[in-house]
Amino acid sequence: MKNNRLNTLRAYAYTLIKKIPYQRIKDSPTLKYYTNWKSYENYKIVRGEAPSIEVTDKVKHADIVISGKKVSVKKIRGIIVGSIDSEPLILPNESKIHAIHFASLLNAVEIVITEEYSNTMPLKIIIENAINDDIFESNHIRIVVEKKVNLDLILIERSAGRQSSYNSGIELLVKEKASVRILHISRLYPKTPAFSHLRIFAYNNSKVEISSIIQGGLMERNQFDLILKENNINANFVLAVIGKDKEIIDVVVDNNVHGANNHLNFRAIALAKDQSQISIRPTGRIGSKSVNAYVDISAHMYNIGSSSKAIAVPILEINTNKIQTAKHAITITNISDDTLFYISTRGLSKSDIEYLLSQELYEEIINNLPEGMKNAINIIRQSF
Amino acid sequence: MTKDDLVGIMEYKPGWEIISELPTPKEIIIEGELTEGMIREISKIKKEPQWMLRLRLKAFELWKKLPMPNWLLGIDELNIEGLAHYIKPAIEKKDEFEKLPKFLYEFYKSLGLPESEAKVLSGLSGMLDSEAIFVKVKEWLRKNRVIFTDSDTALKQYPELFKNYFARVYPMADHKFAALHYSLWSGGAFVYVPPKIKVPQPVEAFFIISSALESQYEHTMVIADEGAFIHFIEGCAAPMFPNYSFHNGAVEVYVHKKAHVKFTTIQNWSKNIINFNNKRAIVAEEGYVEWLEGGIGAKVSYVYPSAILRGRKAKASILSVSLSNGPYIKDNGAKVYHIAPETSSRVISKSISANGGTSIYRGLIYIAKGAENATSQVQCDSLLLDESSRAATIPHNQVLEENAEIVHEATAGRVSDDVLFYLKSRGLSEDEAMSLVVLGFMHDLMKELPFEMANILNTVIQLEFSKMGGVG
Repeated sequence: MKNNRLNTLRAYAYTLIKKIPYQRIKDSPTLKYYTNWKSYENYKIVRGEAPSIEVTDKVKHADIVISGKKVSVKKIRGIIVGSIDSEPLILPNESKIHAIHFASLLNAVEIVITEEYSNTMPLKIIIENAINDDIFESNHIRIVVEKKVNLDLILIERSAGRQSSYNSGIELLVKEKASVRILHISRLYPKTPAFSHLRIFAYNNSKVEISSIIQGGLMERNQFDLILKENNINANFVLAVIGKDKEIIDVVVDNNVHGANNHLNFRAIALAKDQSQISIRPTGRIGSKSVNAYVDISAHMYNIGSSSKAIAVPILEINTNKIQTAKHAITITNISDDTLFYISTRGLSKSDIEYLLSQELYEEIINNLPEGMKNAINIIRQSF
Repeated sequence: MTKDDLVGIMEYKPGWEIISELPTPKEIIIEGELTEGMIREISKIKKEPQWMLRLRLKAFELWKKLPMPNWLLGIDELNIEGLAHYIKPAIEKKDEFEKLPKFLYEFYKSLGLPESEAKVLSGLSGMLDSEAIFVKVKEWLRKNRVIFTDSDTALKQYPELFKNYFARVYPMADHKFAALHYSLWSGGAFVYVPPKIKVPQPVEAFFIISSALESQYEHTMVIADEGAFIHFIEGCAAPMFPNYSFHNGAVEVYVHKKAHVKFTTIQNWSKNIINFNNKRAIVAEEGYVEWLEGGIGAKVSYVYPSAILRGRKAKASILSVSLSNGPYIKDNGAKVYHIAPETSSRVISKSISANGGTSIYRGLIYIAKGAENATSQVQCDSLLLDESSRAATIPHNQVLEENAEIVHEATAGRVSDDVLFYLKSRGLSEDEAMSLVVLGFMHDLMKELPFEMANILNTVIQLEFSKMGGVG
């Protein structure tokens, strides 16, 4: 975003903070506020400057690293990195946390992937909070995948600093006939609250495959919006969430299907250990003009901690009967007695099973990935 | 009952939009802006004890303080201050249908109630506007010390029993309309089944709203003592008015150890009733509550039968079937709180949306820490019959216990082309085939009803769909 536009947006967002609530969901009293918004109240808003984009060969572990007040980019043919120069597609007035996000923006970066980069190595982007101060560290990224591009994208959200509150907004536009495979890894410092919002727009005849792994934070809220805007779009989303200690992870997935002949499959697996709380709240929304849509949402959650909590709120909203299928299914369960017995006969303990289950989660993700992306996941896999 | 009889109680007939209100003579009408004086007056008319007046006034204070829920759709026209809050018909309470005024007897007859009462019920209570006007108790109930009467009479005749249970499971602070209910409640049915008594035939309470711009706040209580069983049927109807009316009733069910309560509602309000019905049950050890909810009528309906499973091995089954035919909203659901070990619940919700109707399932399954080996199974199916109809499912599943399990699944879809093709190949028209599919979809509810009642409900549904040219 150019400096003037960015400053205007920051100022506007700042005025919104006191005016709008964290959540605008209208629902019956059964709806709980699964995100502990109070945990975000201890952080200050620091207004950033214009993004500083540096093209260098000294970028480590990735092609693009957005860290602190700096954006470091390798020079790669077919990848254009600059400031966002149009209105954002995630808006500051969506909620208070969105207003905070825009008011405290450090960087607003647009990454365009052109046909020249198509079918090459996976593109790896790291977004990290690196400032050791009690502030919101916000980054806004727009990734534009041009028409007919085939892209493998590794998107890592992580903590390098230990004090700031991670805050990101990522817009991904998958243009006509483009195909994107995304490995999304969120591994943030577990003692500061974090907010992450990934909004994907898919256009005619495109294909989006997302494999996402979320490891917990003190209070981690992850929002994913998958918007199938036009026709003949195929979207497949696999999400794995692991919570341990006292982590709270609230994942909100809003799947919106418009247009004709769109196919959307969302599957989540979660493991709530120790005293953690995981909530998975996927919505499948089929618009009134959608025709022949297929939406399948499922979540399988293991609630295995001594005081852990597992919450599932799968919502379907169907506004037409011209659908092919719309369904959701969830299970919340423990390790079955049969499994425990079997494992114990093999000399393994319950904690061994927990480990095996976590590995199973990674397997689910890995199975969806091409060889070039598997290494990235193995790095975090060993740490669990 | 003939088809014409049923048409008489339903608003739909081509070219026939409004039928007249019931010509109920009214002895007292309390209406307008809600005041403390008004609450005191209602309590005085009813000759209630002081504790009930205090409870009403406390609820009234809460009504003023609690915020209006921001998620309710379709109630823009609801203006509480513009309604009559208490209407006492100038009709003496009777125990024989024939003794009622002719217009009322004819109305009950058109609903098939005298026939049902004679054949399949062990007791029947009829409420018109704010007061009971009919209570019939068969000998079997008297002989077995089962109490079946209207709630106002129960408060006078069994004050201790009534006080022990009233407002214990459905608290007035639950939400704004709960507080309103307790400040204005009137009428309803009261049942107490002594230990180990299993009532072989159901009892029924039937509620009628006779005019537009009225409100009805009946409070029904069903108490099944240890090892007892009862099937309670609740029915409701109203003619089509030139304006809306408001129903804000409550049902409290107490299921003691090893007792079993089956509570069936056939809601067939006319399409200008705004219907809130708050239903809660608390279930002790090895107790079992069954909620069966058939929601056919009403303009807007918000109903979530709930069960609090507080005793080991307590069980709940909630089956709801709703039909939203026309520009109406059915917001139904179920809530189950598992707070004891080895409790189990099963929720099945089926909804049909047609002609621009909206059906919403909104539910909660909560498994508390300590509810070891609790299990819950939830299934929601929505059938959309045309492009303009909508369906949504909003289930909340919260598990705080390590050793517990929830399974939830939902589907939404249209009537499959294969099924329609098959039925048409057997000589049915498309509309007839559609009606048949809808009836099949609702079969889960039908099979739980006494034959006579299932038959009436069957015809009511056929009539609903006869507008589409189907069976009827």
